[in-house]
Amino acid sequence: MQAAEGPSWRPTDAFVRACLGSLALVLVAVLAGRPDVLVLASPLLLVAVASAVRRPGSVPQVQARLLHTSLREGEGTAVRTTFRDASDVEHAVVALAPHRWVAYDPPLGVRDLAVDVPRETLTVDIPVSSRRWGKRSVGDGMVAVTSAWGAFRRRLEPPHAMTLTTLPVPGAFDAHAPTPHPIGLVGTNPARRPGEGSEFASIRPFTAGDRLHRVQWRVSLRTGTLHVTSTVAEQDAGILLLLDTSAELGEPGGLDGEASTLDVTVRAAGAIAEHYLRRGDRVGLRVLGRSSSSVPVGAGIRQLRRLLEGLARVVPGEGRRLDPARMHFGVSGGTVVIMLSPMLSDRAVTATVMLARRGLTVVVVDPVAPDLAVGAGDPRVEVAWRLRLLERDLLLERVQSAGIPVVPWRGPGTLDDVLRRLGRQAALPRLVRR
Amino acid sequence: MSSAVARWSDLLDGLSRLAVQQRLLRASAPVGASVVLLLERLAGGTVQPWFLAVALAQALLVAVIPDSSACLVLVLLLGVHWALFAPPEVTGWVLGAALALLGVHLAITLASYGPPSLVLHRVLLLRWARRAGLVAAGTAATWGLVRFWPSGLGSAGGWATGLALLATLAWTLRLTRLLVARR
Repeated sequence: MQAAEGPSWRPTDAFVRACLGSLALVLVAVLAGRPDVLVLASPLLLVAVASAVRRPGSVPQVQARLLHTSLREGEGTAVRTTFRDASDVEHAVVALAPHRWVAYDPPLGVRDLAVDVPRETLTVDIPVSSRRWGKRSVGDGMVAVTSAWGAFRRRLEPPHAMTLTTLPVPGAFDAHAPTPHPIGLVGTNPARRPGEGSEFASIRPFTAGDRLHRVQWRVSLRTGTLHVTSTVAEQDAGILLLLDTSAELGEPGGLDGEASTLDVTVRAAGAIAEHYLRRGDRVGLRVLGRSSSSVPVGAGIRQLRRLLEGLARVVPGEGRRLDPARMHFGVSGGTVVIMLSPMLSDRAVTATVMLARRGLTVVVVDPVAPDLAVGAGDPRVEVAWRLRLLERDLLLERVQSAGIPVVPWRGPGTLDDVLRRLGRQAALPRLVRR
Repeated sequence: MSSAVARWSDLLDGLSRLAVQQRLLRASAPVGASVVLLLERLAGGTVQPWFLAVALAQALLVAVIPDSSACLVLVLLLGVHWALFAPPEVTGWVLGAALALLGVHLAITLASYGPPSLVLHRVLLLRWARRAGLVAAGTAATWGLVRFWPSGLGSAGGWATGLALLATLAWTLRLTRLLVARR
C-alpha cells in the first residue's frame, strides 16, 4: 500500500534550537563584547553548521504492506514498511496505531531503524498477531524518517489501515453418530437403501448381479440355496451451519482469554465444519440476517477454507432486524441444519421452528455456558440477566416442543446422542406440514 | 476544547509509556539546567531564587514535551541570564556550562526522535556519542582560543566587532533560507 505523501523534509525542533539559540547567543556575545557567551554559543553553532552541511537532498518514498492478509487466530505475520530513495535517511521509525485484538512485537508497535551505511532502500518489519477471529485493521500509524544530525524530518502517514482476515481456530469436535439423511452419492454415512458399502444390512437369497465374494457360504450350505450378505450404501450428507449472531454474551478475551457466546459459536461452527468435511460430507454456512457470510453447501478442504473465511466475516449484533418470513436458506431436503444460537430472541426461535416445519432435520447447539456470568458486580444487571435466562428457558421450551433437540456445546460428542436419535426417527414415517 | 483534552490525554498516555532510555534522556533537561546554574554561581555570578524556579519549571516542561520549542526557550533563558549576571571572564566554568548546554541539547534531540515508547538503537547512540565528542572538542578549542587569545577577544576593536556582525548576518541569512524555505 502506497503511503500518503506528507510534507517534504522539515527542520526539526533540534535544528531550529541549534540555529536560533546559537544565533541569539552569538549576537549577545558580539554586541555586549562577551567572549564567554560566545563559548556558550559555540556547541550549538557547531551543531547547526554540521546539520546545515548535511541537509538531505533526496525525497524518500514509503510503502507499507502486510506479508499475509489472512491467517488463523494466534498466528503471526508482519507489517513491512519499505523506504525508497533513502540515501539521506539516518533514522527511520514506524509506530503502528494500537487496535483491539492485534498484538505487536514490540508490544507498543514502535520500531526504529538506525542506518549505519547509507542505503537506497530500507525495510522495517513489525511482527503482528491477531488474537481473535474476524476482520482486523492493521498498518495505520505514523512513519517518519530523520536526516543526519537529527536536523530534518519527513513524516508520512499511511492513509488506510489494511485488513487482516483472521480465521477462527476450530474447537475440538468429534462425532461418531451418522447423519440422519445421507443423500449424496459417496461418503461415509450408511444410507437407508441397500448398496455397495461396508455396513452389514441382511443375508438374503442370491439374485442375478450379486458379486461372488458376497456369497454367505455357511447359510447357503445350511439352507441349500445360495445366499449373499447385503450391505447398506454409503452416502455423504448435507450439513447447513446456521449461526445466530444477534447477541454476544460474555466478554471476549481473545485466543488466550475467556470466550464469549459468539466465540463459542464461531469456533464450534469451524470445528463441526472441519469434522464433517474431513468425513466427506458437504457443509454450508448461513448467518441469520446477513448474506455476505453465507457459503453454499460444498465439500472438500477448499470448502473448509471458504467456511472459515465466512466465519471471519461474522460481526456481532447482526440479524436483529431479521424477518423470519422472508428467510431463504437454499437447502435441499435431507440437509441437516445445525443451528448455533443462544436462543435469546423470538426471531431465532421462529426461524428454527420454520425450518423444522419445512421437513428439515434441525438441531440447536446452545453456546451459553452454564456458568456464564453477565454483569458480575452489578446487582441490577445480575437480576436482569436472571430474568433474561427465565425468558430464554421459555423460548427453549418452545423450540423443544416443536420436536427440535437442543444440546449444549461441549466439544467432542456434542451431537452424537441427538444424531443417533434423529437417525432412528428418520427411519419412521412421519407427517410434515409444507 | 475536545482537541485540547485529546492532546492532554495523548500526552499523559505517552508519559505513562516512557521507556527507561527516554526517562534518562528527558531527565537531562532539569539536571543540565541545574548544572549550568551551579557553574554560573561558581563562576561568580548571581542566581536569583525566582530565576532558579523559572528555569527548573521550564526544564521540566522540556522533559515533558521534548519535541517542542520549550528547549530553545530554556537555552536562551540560561544563556541570557549568564550574559546578564555572570562576570565576563572566560574561566573553566564557562567551558563546563557550554558542555552542559551541549548535553541538554543532544539529549533532548535524541528524546524527540520518535514516540515516547521508542528505545533508540545502539548504532544511533554510538554515532551521537562520536558527534558529541567532536562538538565537545570544538567547544574546547573555541574556549581555548578565546581564553588564550593574546590580547583578549573582549578587547577587540570596532573592526573585529563589525566583522563578527557581518559573519553573523551571513549566517542568519543562510539559516533563514534553510528554515523558512523548507517549512
